[in-house]
Formats: sequence, structure tokens, C-alpha cells
Amino acid sequence: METRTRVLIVDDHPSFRTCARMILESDGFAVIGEAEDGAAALTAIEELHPDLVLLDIQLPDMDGFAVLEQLGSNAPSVVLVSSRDACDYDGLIRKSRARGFIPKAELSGTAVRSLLR
Amino acid sequence: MTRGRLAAAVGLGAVLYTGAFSLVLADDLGDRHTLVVMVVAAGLIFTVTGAIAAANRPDNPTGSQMLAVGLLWSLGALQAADGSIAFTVGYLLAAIAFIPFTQLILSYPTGRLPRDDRWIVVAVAITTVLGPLSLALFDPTPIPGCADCPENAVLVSDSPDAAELARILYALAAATVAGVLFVRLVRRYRGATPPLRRIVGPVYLFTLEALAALVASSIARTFSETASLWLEHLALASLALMPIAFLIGILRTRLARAGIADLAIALGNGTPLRDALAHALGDPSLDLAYWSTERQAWVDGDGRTLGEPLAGGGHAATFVEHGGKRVAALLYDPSLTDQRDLVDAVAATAALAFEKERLQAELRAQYRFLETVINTAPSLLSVVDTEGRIRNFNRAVEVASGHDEDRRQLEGAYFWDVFIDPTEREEMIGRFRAASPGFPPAEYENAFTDARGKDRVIAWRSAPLVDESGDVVRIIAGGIDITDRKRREVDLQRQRDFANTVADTIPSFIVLTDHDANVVPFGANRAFCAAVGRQLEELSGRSFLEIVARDDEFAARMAIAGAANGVPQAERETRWLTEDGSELTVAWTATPILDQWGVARVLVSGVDVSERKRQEEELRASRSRIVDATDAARRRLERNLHDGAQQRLAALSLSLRLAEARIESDVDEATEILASAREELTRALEELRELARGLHPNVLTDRGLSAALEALVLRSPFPVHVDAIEERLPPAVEAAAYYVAAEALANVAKYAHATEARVEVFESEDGHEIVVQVTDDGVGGADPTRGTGLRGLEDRVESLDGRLAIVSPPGNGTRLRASIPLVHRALPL
Repeated sequence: METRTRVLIVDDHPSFRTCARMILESDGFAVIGEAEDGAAALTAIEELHPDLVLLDIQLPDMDGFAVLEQLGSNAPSVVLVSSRDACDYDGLIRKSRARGFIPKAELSGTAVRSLLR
Repeated sequence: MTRGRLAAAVGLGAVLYTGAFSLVLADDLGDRHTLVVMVVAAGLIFTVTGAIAAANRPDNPTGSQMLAVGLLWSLGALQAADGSIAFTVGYLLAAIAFIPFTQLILSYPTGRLPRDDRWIVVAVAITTVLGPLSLALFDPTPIPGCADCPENAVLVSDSPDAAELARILYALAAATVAGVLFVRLVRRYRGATPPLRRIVGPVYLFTLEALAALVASSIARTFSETASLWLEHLALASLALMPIAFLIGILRTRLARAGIADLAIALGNGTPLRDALAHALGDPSLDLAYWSTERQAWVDGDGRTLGEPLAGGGHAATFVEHGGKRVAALLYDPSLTDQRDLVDAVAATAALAFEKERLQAELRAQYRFLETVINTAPSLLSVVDTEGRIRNFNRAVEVASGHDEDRRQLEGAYFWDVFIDPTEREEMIGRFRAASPGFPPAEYENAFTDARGKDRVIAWRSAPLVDESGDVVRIIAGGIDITDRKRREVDLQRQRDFANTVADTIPSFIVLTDHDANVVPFGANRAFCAAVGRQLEELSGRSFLEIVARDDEFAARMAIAGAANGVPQAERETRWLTEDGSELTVAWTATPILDQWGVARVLVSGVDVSERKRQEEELRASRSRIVDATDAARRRLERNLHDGAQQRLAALSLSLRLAEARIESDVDEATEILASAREELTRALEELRELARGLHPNVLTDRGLSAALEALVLRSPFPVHVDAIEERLPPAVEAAAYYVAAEALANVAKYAHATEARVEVFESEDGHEIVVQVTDDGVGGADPTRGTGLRGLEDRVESLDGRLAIVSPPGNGTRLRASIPLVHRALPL
């Protein structure tokens, strides 16, 4: 049996976290935790060791790129999400170590998997 | 003629006339006896008077000429001889005495025959030689009426016709020559000067009379022998008397010398020198000239300079010497030149008088010179007596007094009546009397109106004139008419006053410096002194650069140096330091300029642009704040959209996709998801509306300020009372008023802890402004400099030329008041 990918969702909007969990779980992902800001995200990654972090770029305390910079070398894969358009962050996304970017409205298990391949 | 020759001639004459008289007296000549005796007697008279004249005036040929006439005359007596040869010789030579006679007449009184008259003498010679000879050739008795005369020795042919023709030709020739001589003498007399006429008059008279009588005798002979004979007598009498006239003329010098004694007496009697000399020399045309040693020129009795040469123009000159020096000259008729002795004697007699006259003439010349100088001088010169009356004055005084056409108005007039204004007259009289009797030198200026009504200003100097005893007898007052100078001074002063008033009134700064940037005395205007806080006196001589901020000093020094070298400098902005330590920003130029004395200076002129600079800075800051505020508002809006509606819509999208996925497998869950999605959508809409309202309340655009404010306060957490004018205002004013109220209420809600607030909007009393006033009963203590909210409102109000005022005493509520012009002007850039 294939091991389900363990996912940490980081977003400050509860409604998005709820929807994202339901979509990813229905698409075969295992959502192991949620965090509402950058600091909580770093703590959760340290504790939960997720395979994938679904990371919102705009967080209340720091943005997603700052969170990425603070992750260690054995950090999990990170997929950035935002309600903004990808072109708003195009350069930054390409320079970061994230696996890719998915607009929030287009989030799906298929989209996530395509980035992880 | 030498004395030897004279003695020989006299001896010859004695022999000839002795012979002649013995012939004439021994012979019986009938009717002609008397005539012949007269002829011989006339010749003798010529001989005797000629000898006397030649002895007395050997230098004058007239005497010897008379002697020649007399000697030749005697030959005519041979006609009385009994022998044919002697008679014929006497007849042929009887008339040749007319040759020297003609020369004598024409050369009198000088004895020198004019070149033009020589032909007349030649004509007479031809006539007197050929006439008797041609007659004697054809007439056996050539002397008419002389039947017993000896036989004609040269008769060639007794031809009465030829003889008659010869007689007629002889008569015609004689008459013609006599006529020519007659006309010549009349002309010469008419052209003679009076002294000359007096000399030649008697001689010419006798000659003309003799000629006329001879011609008349020839004419009369044709009809009356007796008449002819009487006319011949008359002619001979005239001829016989003529030598007397000659002698008088020749010897007049000796006669005139007797008058020299009279001259000395006349001079002693005070007869004017010229008149006495004219009388002594018998020359009424006489003139005198005096040598002026001062002018080194000849002057006349009135001191007028005479041109050179003195002689000429119808006058001869003799110089009078005194003490070895020429003192004068006699200018007399040239006819007196042969009486040199007389002229010299007269001159010597009058030498002393001449010297006196010369000195007087020189004095007069000097006086005339001084008079000319004084009258041509532009200065006024007047002599005033000790009573203050004008006694003498020059032409300039006449002109300055306005009495230049009637100088009598000035003579004896009181000085102050002429030259002092009536209002100052009493004072002047007082001063004059106070100066008496010493009248020390004084200087004064006075203005008055002259007799022609012209205003004049005269600068006077006066000095006393004392007599031998030291008493002041006159006061010399010299003046210069300085009316024009005064007028120019007044005009110049007026121009300067005008320029100074302008310079001291304009708000611009004006400083005049030398080439080293030192302020020249009184070289700064009032605005400059006030701006830098220094007195005009203390600025003089100090460097202009002292007031320039250190950082700008070099540039300012360069600008002054450039202008001092004649190069106008472009405007520059420099900080100037005032006495109290504050700084001004001044836009100024340095320009080369000549001051009123023509000295090269540098004109620094500038204007204080500190306030303009501050306003520009404030404007720049205000614009910057507006831009910042706008950027912040956009960021806030974007954040709000992102955090609010955008997140909800993104979640909504996911929810719908979940519901779509579950609608067939799990209808209940799908329904639950949709219900949640609807609520999310409602909240998203609400948030969008709120955002839109924040951008610009729709109700403000649609229904105006009052309605917008009513809508605004509905959402307030505390009661707010609104009292706003109902009419619509310009959109910018409505928007500004709305945001002032909204921001103020937001601040009240955030900081004031108020229980209630009040919003009032009304027109100012003059109707030019809209006033927005927001008051609360909160804690007060609001600080406009803190935070961006109130500063943003200030910018918004000031962008419409309005004002924002906040009164917020701690613990006593806050009142915010914005005044916004209804018609705002464009902001200065």
C-alpha cells in the first residue's frame, strides 16, 4: 500500500485551511497539521516532520519566503500558495527552494502531485 | 644848388639884366615900351626871388628853377636891340623862358617834376621854339605893331599867307598847351590836401590868371589891338607877382617857425596838444599816436590800439623821442614832408607834453583794458558806498539785476533794494550797518527776483576799500550768478531724494560696495539694514561678506569680484546671517555701477526668498505626504481586498469544487459545504461594500454632504449629532469636508474615549469658506504632529488653500475646525 503524503497546511485564514484539508484528504493526502503563521509553521515542521508543507506566501508575522529561508537542509518539500497571481511573486518563487506555486482557487491533489514529481 | 653856382648865376643875372635894361630903356618902343619894361622887370623879379629861395632852401630845386626862368627871361630884351641879328635872336628866344616856367609850375612845391607831366614840358618847349621860328621865316615883322623894329634876319620869304598860317598854328599850339596846363593845375588843386592848397593856391592862381590873360590877349588881338595890349599887361603883372607867391611858399618854414613860440604858449595855456600842433603845422588833419610800453603798440589819444604801419593812408609820420625813447608820433599831411625841420622843431617843443599825453594815453589804454575786462567778465562787480548805495558796477551787475536796458536804475540805488529779496532786506540792512565802519571782508549767498521777474541766486564776496587815512570809503562787492548751478544742485538733490526714497521704500535689498566688497558709506538701503538687523552707520566700511553664510562666502566673493571687473553677475541664492543669528535666503545679483562721483562700485541687489523657500519646502513635503498617504491607502486597500474578499472568494472556489466532488457521493456533506460557501460569499460581498464605501461614499456623490455625514454616523459606536448645510458644494469641497469629519470621528473613536460627538458644517460669515467643526467630550490632548491621520487631513485642507485648527486641551474634549475656501486659488509652485 502506497504511503500517503503527510501534509502541513500553513495559512492564516481558517476557512481556506478547512477547504484545503478537505480537498487534499479527498485526493489521498494525509493532512497532519495546520499552522496560522510563520512561527507556528516552523515549530510544526520541527515537531511533525511533514513530507510536504502547503505554505501561504502572505502570513501575519513573516512571509512564506522568510519561512523557507529558515528551514534547514533536511526540510520537507514546500508548495507555495496564495490568493494572488503567480506573476506577483514570479522571480521570488523561482529563486526559492519551493517545489512550486499553486493559486489558492486552483488547489487540488493533482496540482500538488504534479509539482512533487 | 651850391653857393658857388648860385653866386655865378646871380652874377650872370646882374650882367644880363643890366644889358637888358640898358637896351630897353635906350630904345624907343612906342606903345610897347611899357610892356617890354614890364617883361624885363618880371624876369628880374624871378631872378632875384629865385636867388633868395635857392639861398634859403638849397635842398628845394624850386629856387634854382625860378632863377633859370629869370635868366632866360632876360634874353627877350634883345628884341629891343637895333641890330637885325640881335633883334631876331631876342625874338626867337623871348618865349623859351616858358620851358623852365612850365617845369617850375608843375613841380611846385617839391621841385620834382612828376613823370606824367614831362610831356607837357616837352610840348611847351616845341611850341616856344618852333612857333616864333616858323613865323620869323615868313614874316618880315614878326612882332605885330612894331613897324620900326630891325629887319628879321631869318626871313626866308615874305609870304603873308604863310606867315598868317604860321601865326594861327603858333596861336593854336600855345592855346592848346596853355589849356592842358590850365586843366592840369585845376585838377591838381582840387586833389590837394588843405595844407597843400594853401601852398600852391597863390602860385596856381597867378599862373592861371596869366595863362587866361595871354590866351584872351591872343583872341582879342584879332579885333582890338588895345584890348590885347591891356590883357598882355595883366598877364605880365600876374607873372611878375608870381615869384612872390613862390617865395612865400618856399620860405613858409621860416615863417612857421615863428609860430613855435605860439605853440609853447598854447601848450602852457592848456590848449589840447593835438589842436596846438595842428595849428602850429597848419595841418588840421594832424593826428597823434602814442607808444604804449605795456602793450608794445601804438595807441591813439583814447587808448585804442592803432595798426601798423603808422605812416600811409594819406599821412606821413614823424616820431617824437623823450629820454632816448620813442614816446609819440605825429601823423601829418605828406605835403609837410619837405618841412622836416619845422615838424622836428614842433615835435621837440611838444616832447614833454607828448610824454604827458603818452602817459595819459597809456593810462586810458589801461583803463579801457580794465573796463573791457570788467565788463566782459561773467562775475558781478559793484562798488557800494558806506551808505549801501551802488556807485559803480559792471555789465554783469546790470544783467543780474534785470536793469540791463536802463543802467540808471542802478546808479545810486541801495544794494539791498536791487539784490536782496524784500523779506530778507531788513536783515541785510542790519548786517550792513553792523559791519560799519570797518566793513570786514564777508561772503554770503542770496536769492532774489530780478527786475525782469527772474529768480536768481548770487554768491557774493565783499571787501572794504580804504583811503590814505585808512577810512573805508567804498565796499567792493563781487558776485557770481549761481542760479543755474543752484538749480542743477536742486534738480540733482531731487533726483537723489527720489532715488533714495525708492531705495528705502522697496522691499528689495540694495547694498553698494567697493571692489573689495566693503560697504561704502551710506551704501545700504533701509530694507537691507532691517533684514540683517544692523544700523546703516555701522555697516559703512565693513565687508558685505560678513553677513554671508560661511558656506556661501566664496561664491559671494567671486560674484563681487566679477562685478568689480565689469561683468554683471547672474542671480544666485545665498544665505545671509542676521544680527540675531537667524538666516535669510536671498536671491541677489552683483552689478557693476558708477556712483554719483563716477567711482566704479558694485551694486548688490536682492530679495528675501526665505518665505518662498519655506513655502516651497512645505509644498514639497505636503505633496510627498499626499503621495505617501495615497500609496498607503492603496496598500491598505490591496491588503483589505487580499485579506478579505479575495481570501473568502478563494476559499469559496475550493468549497464549490468540494461540493461538486461530493454532490453525488455524499449529498449531505455537499449541502453543508454549499451552505458554508453561501455564508462565505455573503461576508465577501459585505467586505467589498465596506471597501467601496471607504474609497468614496456613493451617497456623498449622489445626495451630498449632509446625507453622507448622516450615513457615516450610523456606523459610529457612540452618538454623533450632525448639523450640516443642505445645499450642494463643489465636489472637492464636499469630499474634503466629508473626510475631515470621517477622520475626526475615527480619531474620536480610537483615542478620545468620548461618550458623544458633534459634527457641524456651515458657511463662514463672509460666505467665502465652508467650516467643518467636529467636537467631542473626550479626553483631549490630541497632537496634530503625531501620527499621519491629522497631518493627512491638514494636507488635504491646505491643498484647497484651507486651514485646519485643533484645540484639544487635555481632559477637556477636542475641537477640530477646518476652513475650506469655496473658490480656491491655484497653489504657488
